[in-house]
Amino acid sequence: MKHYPYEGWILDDIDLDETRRADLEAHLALCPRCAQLSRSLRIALQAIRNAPEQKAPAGFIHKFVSSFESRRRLQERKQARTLAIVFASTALTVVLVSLYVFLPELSLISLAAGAISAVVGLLEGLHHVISFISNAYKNLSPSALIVIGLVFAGWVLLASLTLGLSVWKLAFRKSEVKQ
Amino acid sequence: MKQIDPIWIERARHGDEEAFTMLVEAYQTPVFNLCYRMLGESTAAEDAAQETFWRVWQKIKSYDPQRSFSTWVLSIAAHYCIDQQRKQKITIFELDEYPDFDLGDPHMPNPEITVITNEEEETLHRMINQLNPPDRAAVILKYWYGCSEEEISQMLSLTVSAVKSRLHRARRQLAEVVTKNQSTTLQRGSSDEALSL
Repeated sequence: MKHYPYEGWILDDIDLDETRRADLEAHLALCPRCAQLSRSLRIALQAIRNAPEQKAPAGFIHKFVSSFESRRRLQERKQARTLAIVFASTALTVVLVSLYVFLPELSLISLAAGAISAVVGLLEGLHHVISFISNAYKNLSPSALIVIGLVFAGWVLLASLTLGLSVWKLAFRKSEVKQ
Repeated sequence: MKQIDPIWIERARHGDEEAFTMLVEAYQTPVFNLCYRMLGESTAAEDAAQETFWRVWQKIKSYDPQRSFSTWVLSIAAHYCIDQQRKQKITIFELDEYPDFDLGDPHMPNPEITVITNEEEETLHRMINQLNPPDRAAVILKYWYGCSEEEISQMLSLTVSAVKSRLHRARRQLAEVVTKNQSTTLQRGSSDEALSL
C-alpha cells in the first residue's frame, strides 16, 4: 500500500482542506501503519500540550539579584585580566622585536656589546628627535606650533582620561543593584 | 505569556537595573519552563534560567525593539540550553529503558489525562529527551509556546524549511516512541495473562 502523501500530511501537522481530510480518513481506515502513526503522534502531541507550565522556583529573583554583583565583578576581573594579558603580550613583543632589531646575535659577548650599542643608538635617536623638534620650533610659524601643541596636549589628555576611567571602573565602582 | 510595558524594556536598555529586575520577574517562569523542558532537571533548569537572564542583561543594549522581547529572551535561553546539552552530552535513554506509559486514546474523553502526574511528567521528559537538542527546542517552542515556524527559525537561527524539516523528523520520532511503548505494554499484558493462566 502506498503511504505517500498521507504520511507527510500526518507528520506535517497542518490543517488539511475538506477533500484532503476525507482522503486521509479513507486511507487511515485501510492502512494500519498510517493509522498507528496518526494515533501515536496525536497521543505524543497531546501529552506535550497538556503538560503544565513549570513555575520558576521561589526566590528565583532574589537569587538573580544577589548573584548579579558577583557576576559583574567576575566579568570585570576577566576584562582586567584580558587587558593585562594583552598589555604584557604587547610589551613582550616590543622587547623581542627590539632585541631582534638591536641585538641580532644573542651570544653573551654580543649581548653586552649589543646592549651598549643599543643604548648608544637610542641616545642617538633621541638626539635626532630633539634636534628635529628644535629645528621645527625655530622654523615653524607660531600658529603651526600652537596647533601641534594643542593636538599633542589633546592626545595626552584623552589618553589620561581613558586610563583614569578604566581604573575607576575596575576599582571603585560601587554596587547599584536594587535589592 | 505575561506581557510587559515596553517602557520597562526601554529603561532596562538604558542600564536601569530596577527595570531589568521587573523583566526578570515577568519572564522568569517562561524562561525557567523552557530550560526545564530542554534540560529535564530542576536545578540545571534554574541555573540555565539564571544564566539566560545574565546574558540578556549583557546583550540588552543590542536588542532590537522591533522584535518581540519574549521571543528574543526565549531564543537566548534556547541557544544556551542547546549549547549546554552539546557540552554535557546528556545520556540519551534507550527506547527499551522506558517505563511503560499509556496516555490513553485522545478520541476518548478522559478527564484523568489532563492531570499529569509526576510519573507522566518524567515519562514526557524521557520522550522529549529522545530528540536531539535543536529538534527538542523546536518542538518545545512550537507546542508549549505556540511559536510559528517563522518565529522558531528566527529564534534558533535556522531557515524556515530547516525548522519544518526538524519538526517533521521530531514528530516521527515522538510517534515511534509512543508506538514502541504501546506495543511493549501489550506484549507484557499478554505475557502476564499467560502466566496467570
